[in-house]
Amino acid sequence: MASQREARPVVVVTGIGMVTALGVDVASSWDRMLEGKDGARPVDLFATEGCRCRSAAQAALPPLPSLAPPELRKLPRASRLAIPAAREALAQAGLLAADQRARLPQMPLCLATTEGGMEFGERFLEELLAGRKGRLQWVGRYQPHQQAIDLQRAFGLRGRSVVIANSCSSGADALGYAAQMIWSGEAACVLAGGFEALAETVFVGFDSLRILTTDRCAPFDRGRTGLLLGEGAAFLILESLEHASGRHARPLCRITGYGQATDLHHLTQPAPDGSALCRAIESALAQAKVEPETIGYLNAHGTGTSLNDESEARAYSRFFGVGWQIPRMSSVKAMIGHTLGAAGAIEAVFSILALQTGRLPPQWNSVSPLPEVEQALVRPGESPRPLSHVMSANVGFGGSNSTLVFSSHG
Amino acid sequence: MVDRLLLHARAVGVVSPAGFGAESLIQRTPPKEHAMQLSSSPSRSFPIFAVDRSHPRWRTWAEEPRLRRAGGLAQFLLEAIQQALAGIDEPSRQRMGLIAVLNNGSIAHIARFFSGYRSQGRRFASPLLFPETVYNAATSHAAAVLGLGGPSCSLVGDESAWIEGLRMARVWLELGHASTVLLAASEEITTASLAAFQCAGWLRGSRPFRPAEGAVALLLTVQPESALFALEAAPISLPYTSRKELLPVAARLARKMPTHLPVYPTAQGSWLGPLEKAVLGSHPVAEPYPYLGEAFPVSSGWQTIRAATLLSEGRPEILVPIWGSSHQLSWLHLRLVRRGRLPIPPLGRSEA
Repeated sequence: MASQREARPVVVVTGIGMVTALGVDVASSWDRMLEGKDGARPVDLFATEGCRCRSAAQAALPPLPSLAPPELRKLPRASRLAIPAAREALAQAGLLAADQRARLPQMPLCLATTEGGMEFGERFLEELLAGRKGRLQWVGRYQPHQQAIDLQRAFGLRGRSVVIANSCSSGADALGYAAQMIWSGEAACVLAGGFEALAETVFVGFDSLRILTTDRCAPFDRGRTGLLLGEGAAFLILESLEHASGRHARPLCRITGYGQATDLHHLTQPAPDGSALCRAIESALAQAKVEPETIGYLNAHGTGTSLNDESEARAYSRFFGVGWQIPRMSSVKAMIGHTLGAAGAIEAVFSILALQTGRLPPQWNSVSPLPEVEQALVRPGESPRPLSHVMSANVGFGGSNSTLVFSSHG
Repeated sequence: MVDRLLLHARAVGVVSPAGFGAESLIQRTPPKEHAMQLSSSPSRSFPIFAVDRSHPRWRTWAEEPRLRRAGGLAQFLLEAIQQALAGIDEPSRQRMGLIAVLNNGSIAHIARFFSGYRSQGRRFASPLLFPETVYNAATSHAAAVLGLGGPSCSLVGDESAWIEGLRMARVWLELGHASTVLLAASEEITTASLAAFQCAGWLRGSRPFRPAEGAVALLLTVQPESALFALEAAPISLPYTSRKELLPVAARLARKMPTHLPVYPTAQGSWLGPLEKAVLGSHPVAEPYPYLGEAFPVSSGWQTIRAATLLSEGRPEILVPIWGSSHQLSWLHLRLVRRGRLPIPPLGRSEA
């Protein structure tokens, strides 16, 4: 839907940060993605006996030297992933002071997650099941707004926070809403991102749906066998160009479009024709005022499940035409797994890196691609190409479909 | 920053321990208390304000195919939204946005799913229950059953998330992301949440705190025509990251609130009640309705509607402080709409 405002502020990205199963920062995650390092490993955070699948893209926790061990022990795993990613984004944007405090303490936080500090919730429920009174430390630190508090404490942030929980599109929606806040004049600079930690309940849940692969995760492959769960976090600094210029910050790119549409088909299954995703793409492109053929790279949701990839491939094929080759497309979930509430933010960072460098994350593990996307999938060894616009798409449980367009700046 | 767009509430929907519709919120007698047992210690029970689930209306929702595995959280949400949608035709719903605000979310399903796989083994975990554990399951059901074709979003947080929802609605309307927006909230009391309140010390005998459940919905537009009242979120929300910070943050918030406007007190039963009295002591007060318990963002919605019923020519503006019980503080500014439809019409009339 087009903006009603005559001239909305230009929104730029001035900082990015991420933690994935491939690395504890942007550079290491990006390098290993391009090299094709697989983040899958046997899960050792919790017991998986009885599950069909026993592996996930489990991340190594980055060190947090600024926090004392007692403080560190209180943090849920989600915060242990979120804080380093946010720090990296703040630092790149020049918004991190020497004392590790944010230079703009009133900056709002726009966060995304699907499970918050779930492992604390599990401990609480475990105590109740055993007939014991639960402990406040577990229940108090389970809810997602606790991770907002952890981030505010870590960086001395004093602005408001909002937590979006739209399942697997949450991360894209957090970035999209942060951009909308700036476009509407509600904010000038926002720290936005998503985080997700592996937790037993969610792992067992996906396993019960029989959509976790026991093989390699192969998005858009005819022989795909399911998704790989992952964990991680990514944060971006979004600000109006005017605000960024005022503090001499260097924009990495612009965020020019955000489209969102709700699929009413089923709680967990996308409509087979991918119509809601098409609407989200259409809306994002209209907002960005760019034609579909100008999108050079598309970071697809591509979970590796039968239903998602088929519906998604149909949507793209409807949108970009039969046998489409541009945009080039891949899903990074083959290597970092599906990071649920963090996925949209992490994949936005990969898209921005592609936009900046012209290098495209290959579609790993897809040896026999679905015909609808066969010509478009990025192959290992493809030469870098100049890009003006890239797109990142996410589809979630509950029918949330979200698309972001990033455009080069200057 | 641009001038802030004033939002108008065109219709409301309410599910509360006192009944259905806005009129349930303005009864002069408090709702009946029920006793709920602790799951970890069934000999102990605590008083709560619960929705009367024996009402035939709940059977209708339970029989809705999409809701066959959902629970009270989704049913309450759908009922409140349906009330707010009375008389709204299908084409008007196509570009209607939905923002659902939750605190505990689907904790009932999470607890059932967790105890199921822990007691029977992971390989017997229920694939039917798991999808209902996600925060946005109820939102998704509402959009699907009620045919809402615009954007939808689920927000999680304490009472202050209601304000964030209002801000999101304003942004969506300002940018044309949606033509109208339903802002809704839902909360269900479960034995697990009761145990959590006990842990937090909120259920101690000396405290007036009562857990409550229900839902609320506001249909928001930018058009003043046919509006019930107008509302605007405070330009700020202030976070607190510890109990120690709470008093100074609350005092700072009070200093930023307009001092000449009457305040509708909202914390009389929560542990924040004394704080509210202390920091708003000098403000003129609009006499509150009886205590209806704490249902987090739902309570914020109820308080919004309750305060709106007190708007009049003699009292055209009211402030509603929003005391987040775990994270943020803020307020709402309500305004009388000239030639508006106050008092809020009873449910029967808006359904007609």
